[in-house]
Amino acid sequence: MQKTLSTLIAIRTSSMANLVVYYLQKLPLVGKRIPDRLYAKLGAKKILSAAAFLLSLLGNFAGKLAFVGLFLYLPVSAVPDLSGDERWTLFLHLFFLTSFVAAGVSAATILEPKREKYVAVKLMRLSPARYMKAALAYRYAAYFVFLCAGPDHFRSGARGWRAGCHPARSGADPVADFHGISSSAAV
Amino acid sequence: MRLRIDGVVKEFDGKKVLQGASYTFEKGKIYGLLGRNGAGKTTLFNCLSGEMGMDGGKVLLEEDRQARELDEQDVGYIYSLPILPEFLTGYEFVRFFMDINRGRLQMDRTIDEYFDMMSMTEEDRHKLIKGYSHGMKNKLQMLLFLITKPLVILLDEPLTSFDVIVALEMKTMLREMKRDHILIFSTHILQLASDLCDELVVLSKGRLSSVPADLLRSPEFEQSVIDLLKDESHAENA
Repeated sequence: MQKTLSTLIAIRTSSMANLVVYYLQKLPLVGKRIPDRLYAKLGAKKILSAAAFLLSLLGNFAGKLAFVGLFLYLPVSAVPDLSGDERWTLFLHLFFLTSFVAAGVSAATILEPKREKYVAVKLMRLSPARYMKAALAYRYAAYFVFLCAGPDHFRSGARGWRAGCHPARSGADPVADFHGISSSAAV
Repeated sequence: MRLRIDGVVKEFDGKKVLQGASYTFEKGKIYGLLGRNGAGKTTLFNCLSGEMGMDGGKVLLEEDRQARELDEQDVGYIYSLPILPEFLTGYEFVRFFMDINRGRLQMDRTIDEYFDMMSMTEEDRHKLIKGYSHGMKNKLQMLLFLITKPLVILLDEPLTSFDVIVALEMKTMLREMKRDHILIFSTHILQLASDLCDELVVLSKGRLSSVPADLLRSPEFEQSVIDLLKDESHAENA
């Protein structure tokens, strides 16, 4: 599965690097100076692919951070008259429901028709089982890390709930509180 | 080696598109599959390639007097509108293909040698597939078949949108490939079929029938094929 996964990531990052070159070429003024022969510079594209891969990781991480912050932490912080423990329980409840129940039904990745699946299985003759195992393992391993790392930053805020620091009850602005935590998360 | 299609049935919402289609195709020949629009040519190809299940009948591959069911891996299918990864270059696509299949397939040439065989220039092979013409995309698919060497190659309406040079290159290539494969291509262009094919098969009323070999190069050929197809009520209006 490791070989399949590395090939799959190589295909994705190469496509991403090409996509960057393609759209750079579409930019006014600068675009015309980027030659088509850049697609053939495999060495330079490896660096671009690595950068694209890192950017995609950062993008995914930022997405999960925004999701946990905007859809879970912020609403829970805004509910008035809750004790710290209740807030924490509500946070975990929402986190569980959205990540494991709602997502299990609404984000059925295995059923999604995707060009990548078609290309990998039909055109490149990759075994469907190997492709799905590699793609899902990568997707959910990354989700696990992002979701654990993302909420971890909010957990420090949630610990504040448990310690009795209730932003809504104390009159603190939950939005400001959220920004404070998310900015520390970014650091 | 022979490909035996035996009583293949396929229906959609109660309408039988293939009604017990039977025919035997042999290695070393190019077969032209003729039929009107909607006659079921693509459906037959989809059934043979495993894209679609059949409602009846069987498809067997006979080698050394031993018959076995046709496997998806035995078939190379060139679509009329190929779907390829647009944001990879042709070179990258083939390189990844070779990486994935290394060990499973015997690759006796380097990646550049395969591109040379397809007369694809250095510049073309490093272009994004998104910028490829229809003909170039078909060439790229054919290149994969040089690597995988599928026993049966199906071509759905190829050559119809090619310029004269590419069409000639493809014809030459198909003639070279026929030695080791069973080649079947669907078309509705009679001239192309008579020019390239060793045998013509007509798909009409959901059944396959052969056009006699002596008719293929006779002056009455065109009229005879039209007569064969004419009595079929047009599927699109049915």
